[in-house]
Amino acid sequence: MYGGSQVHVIGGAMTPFGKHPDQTAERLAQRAVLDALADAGLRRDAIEAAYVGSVFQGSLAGQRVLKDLGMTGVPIYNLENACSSGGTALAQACLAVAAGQVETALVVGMEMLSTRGSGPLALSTGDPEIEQGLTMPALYAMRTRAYLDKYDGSIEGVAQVTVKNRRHAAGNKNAQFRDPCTVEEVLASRPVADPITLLQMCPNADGAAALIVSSKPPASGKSVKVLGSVVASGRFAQGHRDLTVPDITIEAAKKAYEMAGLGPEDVDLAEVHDAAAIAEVVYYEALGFCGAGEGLALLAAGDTAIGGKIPVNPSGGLLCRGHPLGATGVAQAVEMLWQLTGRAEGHQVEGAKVGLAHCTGGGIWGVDNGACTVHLMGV
Amino acid sequence: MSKEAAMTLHAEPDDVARSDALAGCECGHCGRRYFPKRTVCTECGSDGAMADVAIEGPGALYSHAIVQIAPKIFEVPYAVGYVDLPGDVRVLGQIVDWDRQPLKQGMKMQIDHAPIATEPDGSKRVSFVFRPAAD
Ligand SMILES: [Zn+2]
Repeated sequence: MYGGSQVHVIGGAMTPFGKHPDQTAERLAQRAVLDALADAGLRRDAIEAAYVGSVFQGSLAGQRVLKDLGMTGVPIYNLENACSSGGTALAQACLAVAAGQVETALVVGMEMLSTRGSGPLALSTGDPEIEQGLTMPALYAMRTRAYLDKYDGSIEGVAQVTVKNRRHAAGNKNAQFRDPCTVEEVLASRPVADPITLLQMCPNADGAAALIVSSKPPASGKSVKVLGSVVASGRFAQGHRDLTVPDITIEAAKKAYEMAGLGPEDVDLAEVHDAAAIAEVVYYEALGFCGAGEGLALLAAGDTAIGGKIPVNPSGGLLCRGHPLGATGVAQAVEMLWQLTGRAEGHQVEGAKVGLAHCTGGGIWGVDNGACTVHLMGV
Repeated sequence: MSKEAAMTLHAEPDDVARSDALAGCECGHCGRRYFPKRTVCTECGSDGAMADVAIEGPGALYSHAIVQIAPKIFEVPYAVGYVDLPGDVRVLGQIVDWDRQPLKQGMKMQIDHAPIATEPDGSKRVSFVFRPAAD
């Protein structure tokens, strides 16, 4: 890591992810904060700074969450980095603790999407590709086609990502979609952007998650160490780009492994940004779990299922949990805390010592993704 | 350089003079080409050294999608794709006549112009589009 202090994640919590139109983002986040404090066995006055990630929750989202809990008066940082907002909040909190600016900080991720209407989320306006009719699923459809063209794969193979993650989510009470499904059902679901069907895309969701990070580990042993923490942003290029090589994820992972002094072979489980089924396959390769072009074979062999060599998205991932933008990165880290301390009820990866959490996203013309975060944690 | 130009990173697009080309620009320092036009070169950092250039087809289709769910202004289904134009300029655009033949990676694409959307006021959004080239 950086700085003088080891950073520990000492408590975490999340709300169930799903459609909660009767709630507000603030109320969801407040529940997560109180549960995270209880998990850490801390009183609210132990928090010296708060880092709050969200995308559509407006100005001063963190202040609106914390004022009703009587937790104002500490510095509150509101962070927006598209799908990586929560991961960015975690990275900034880790930096403050590692540097010794504070001993204990709160991280919150929150998002309320069900009150924004149905259908794909509107991408940023004024983007030349959006003006031509590009949608987020269409971008993933082009990624899917580029991958299948390059490696001669099948869409049935890609659909197996959803099938595996649904199987995982059956044991995760916080996931939105927990029913099993088949490859045939995935491919027969509503066409969104050929070859992408509805069940190959993550659903919108409402939800919140919170973490407590501290340089002071609790005596309980219920904590994990942050071994690597990286934020990367995409590089602009006008010319050719291989859609099967997500440079921003490759760069963030490389830096995180270097920071931790670890390699992909040391990782026991990962929560990755499967906003679409193809994304998980591409990220197996980008994170180093297999070589280029070997992602579908890794999946087909069962290596990324719970019980396999490198379980990926034991929670069910974004495809099943849903993707409340700002909340996702924090929820992934809560999953890491639970997995590495043997508390991932119903979807535990036995004996896991090192975990990786990966968020990336933000469609913006000319770059792979707007922002990506990778965190490595261990016990 | 004018004060006005210094305040914007992106030049305003000119009226398209030719239906079979894109109104792009080329950096006078390093030769990098861009579409849409801009005033700052992301490669070499030059500011205000761009010259107008017509970016011509045909290009090669890299990947595409048939969009079935889209904002209301677009009429589904329609095809979008990335086309790599000569000089390493990648452009995303709609593909017309996509349903007349299977679209394949590497397929030659020509530049054309056509309506691609209906604006909320009822007017048509006319844009460059790509069309599979006749062999
Ligand atoms: Zn230049």
